[in-house]
Amino acid sequence: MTENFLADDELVGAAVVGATDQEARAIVERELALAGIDCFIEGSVVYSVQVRSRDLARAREILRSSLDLKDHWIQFPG
Amino acid sequence: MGFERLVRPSNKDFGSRAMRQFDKNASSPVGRQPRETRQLTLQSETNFRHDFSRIPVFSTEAATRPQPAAGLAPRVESQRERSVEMPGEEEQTVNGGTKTPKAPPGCDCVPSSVAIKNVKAYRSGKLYGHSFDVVVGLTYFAARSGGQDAQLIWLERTDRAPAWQGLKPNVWNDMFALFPTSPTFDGWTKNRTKPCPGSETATITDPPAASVDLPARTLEFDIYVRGQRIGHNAKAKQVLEPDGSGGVKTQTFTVEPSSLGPLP
Repeated sequence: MTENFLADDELVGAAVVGATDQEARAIVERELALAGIDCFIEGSVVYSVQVRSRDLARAREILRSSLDLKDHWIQFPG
Repeated sequence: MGFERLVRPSNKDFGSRAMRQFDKNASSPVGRQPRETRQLTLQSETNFRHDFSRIPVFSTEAATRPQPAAGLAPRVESQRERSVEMPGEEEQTVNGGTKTPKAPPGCDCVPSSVAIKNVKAYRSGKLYGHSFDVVVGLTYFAARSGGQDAQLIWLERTDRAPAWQGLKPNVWNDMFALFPTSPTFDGWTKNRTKPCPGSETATITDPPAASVDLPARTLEFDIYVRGQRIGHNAKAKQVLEPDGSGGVKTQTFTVEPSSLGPLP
């Protein structure tokens, strides 16, 4: 692995959104960025919203309480 | 309940078929000329999560059946090397009770084809990957009793699993079982009109993608639609590799030979 990359074992899944829902992805990126939380989104069928473990609780709280996301498909896998 | 088998032909039998590859610079298929068939390695220790962990995959019993099953075309029978035994409809319950869609009352749904089409490379911010359609031909017949919908099994395996608790690299997962309500599956779960008798085409669009900030990833697709005695399959492999500077080094999506086999 190239040194420039973030090791993905440093990341934890905060949520998943529909892979075809570009608006939900944009909302997630915007709200986490406003909170100063780096997120890494990727996947297939669903996109995993991944954050550093230290940010997990705060990221989940932000996404769970987001009014902009209330009409979008989003899940919070264990 | 009897198990049914989906037949996986040998890769060597597809030597004459053209394979298509889609590169990062193209929005349409390139390399339409026949290419060297890529050897697909199928692991004998494939595992499934959740309910699917009990499904024997690549059953040696099926692979070594001494007698051809009645009704099998010679071409298909000669290709019988591996099979997948799938659970019955009553076992397709996931996420606390979400069931596969029902066929119209009194109708059976039979798949006539499954194909991967419309592969397009894309880049959106730090996300890069492809969009593709899984196009499923379906026919509905009057059933003698009850009626059974076709079943979708959407298997994916990656060498770099996403950060969800429990997902492991290089293990097949049924994404439809894990996320049956994902909008990606609306073309299967919500948008079918199910004409009976009649036929329709279901289209499922998936945009698998990765972040340029994360390491390379290979993702394989093995997608089945199963009717009562007919199963169809489509397979593909996506390779994504960033260049380490915010760009893309590799971005390929290869449609691999699909298998077709009537069930014994």
